[in-house]
Amino acid sequence: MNYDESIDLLLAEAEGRLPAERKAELEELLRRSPERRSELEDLRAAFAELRRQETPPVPEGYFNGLLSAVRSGIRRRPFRIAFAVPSWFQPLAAPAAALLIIAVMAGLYPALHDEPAPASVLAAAAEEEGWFDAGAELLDGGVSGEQRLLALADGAVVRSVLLNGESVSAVPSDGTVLTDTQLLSHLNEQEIEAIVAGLSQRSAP
Amino acid sequence: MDRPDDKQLIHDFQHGDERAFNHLVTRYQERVYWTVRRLVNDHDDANDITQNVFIKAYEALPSFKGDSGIFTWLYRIAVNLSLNELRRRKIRKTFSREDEPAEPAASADETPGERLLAAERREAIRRAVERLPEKQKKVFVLRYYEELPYEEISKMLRTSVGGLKANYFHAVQKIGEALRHELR
Repeated sequence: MNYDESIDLLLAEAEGRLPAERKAELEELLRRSPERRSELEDLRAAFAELRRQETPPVPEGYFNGLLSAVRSGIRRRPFRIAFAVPSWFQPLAAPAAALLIIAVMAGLYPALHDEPAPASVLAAAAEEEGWFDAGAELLDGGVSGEQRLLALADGAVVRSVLLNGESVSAVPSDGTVLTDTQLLSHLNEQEIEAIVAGLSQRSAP
Repeated sequence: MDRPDDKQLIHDFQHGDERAFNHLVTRYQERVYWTVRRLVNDHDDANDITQNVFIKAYEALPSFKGDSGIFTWLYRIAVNLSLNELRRRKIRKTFSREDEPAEPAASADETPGERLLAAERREAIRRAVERLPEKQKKVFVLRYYEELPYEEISKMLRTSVGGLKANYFHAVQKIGEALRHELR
């Protein structure tokens, strides 16, 4: 039995879900390994202690008012224009995105937009998407230099955004640099927002 | 009358029935709240995050395709927003060195001694969970408090079931060890 299998067995026993037909297997494991026996005792003790924990208090009637709070939060949200991508366009989306990236790489956008986009623009857009409250906080606090900000939307695709002075770059979870720092520094606000929206869509649950 | 299932509610909402969204909120609000609360350990933060989870769900539901269950989807948002809050606290703490918020006292029908003991235990567990690595913390909350099957957590966190079990195992071990030291 390998380590993972023994963990599975110990957890199943400690959680009280070990089927009867696997009891002999567990007994054999415990007989052969005092270390596993001790781990099982520790797990049982931990669960026993955890079960004694009481549910923390919640204000009375809280759940009765939650829906109306959510509804009022929805009403307060800034108006957004929603549109659906037509189904005929969906197969073309990836090639179109590739063409766009090539166009950007070729320098079309830097040539058209000389004004560098401040990092705060990305932070603001990202914050609106609910990603990086921490980013805005750092900027508000006047923290300078390169800051690694953890992405909050999903974490599966977009792990971090680096803010470095006035330039930004996005790094997906596989570690490949998605967009060049220098390149992004030449994008305007709308383009940055489009990237943020695109990343958000990719990382949406 | 049978309660409409999640798929029906999503379908109705996507076709303009706002009441369907209300049903979804009332159906999942407590579970979402408790997941968040267990992660952030503070009612006010949990309240804000829970509201945000549903606001985000409201915005994203029109394009929800149902690849995962709504339940899995909401939990994923909840866990991510909670971790966002924890990171923000960590940054805030780094810069201002402010203390973590403490849980309020327990119910009024306890004696002061019982109340103190319960508060101590809750605080010790909170600290122990807080100190867990992020992955172990997520797995622990979803498995222990929410009692979700490993397969469900695996879909939410996009991790293998074997990996989750190892994370859970180590999380419980660490919590047990911390409690042994703190509560003896």
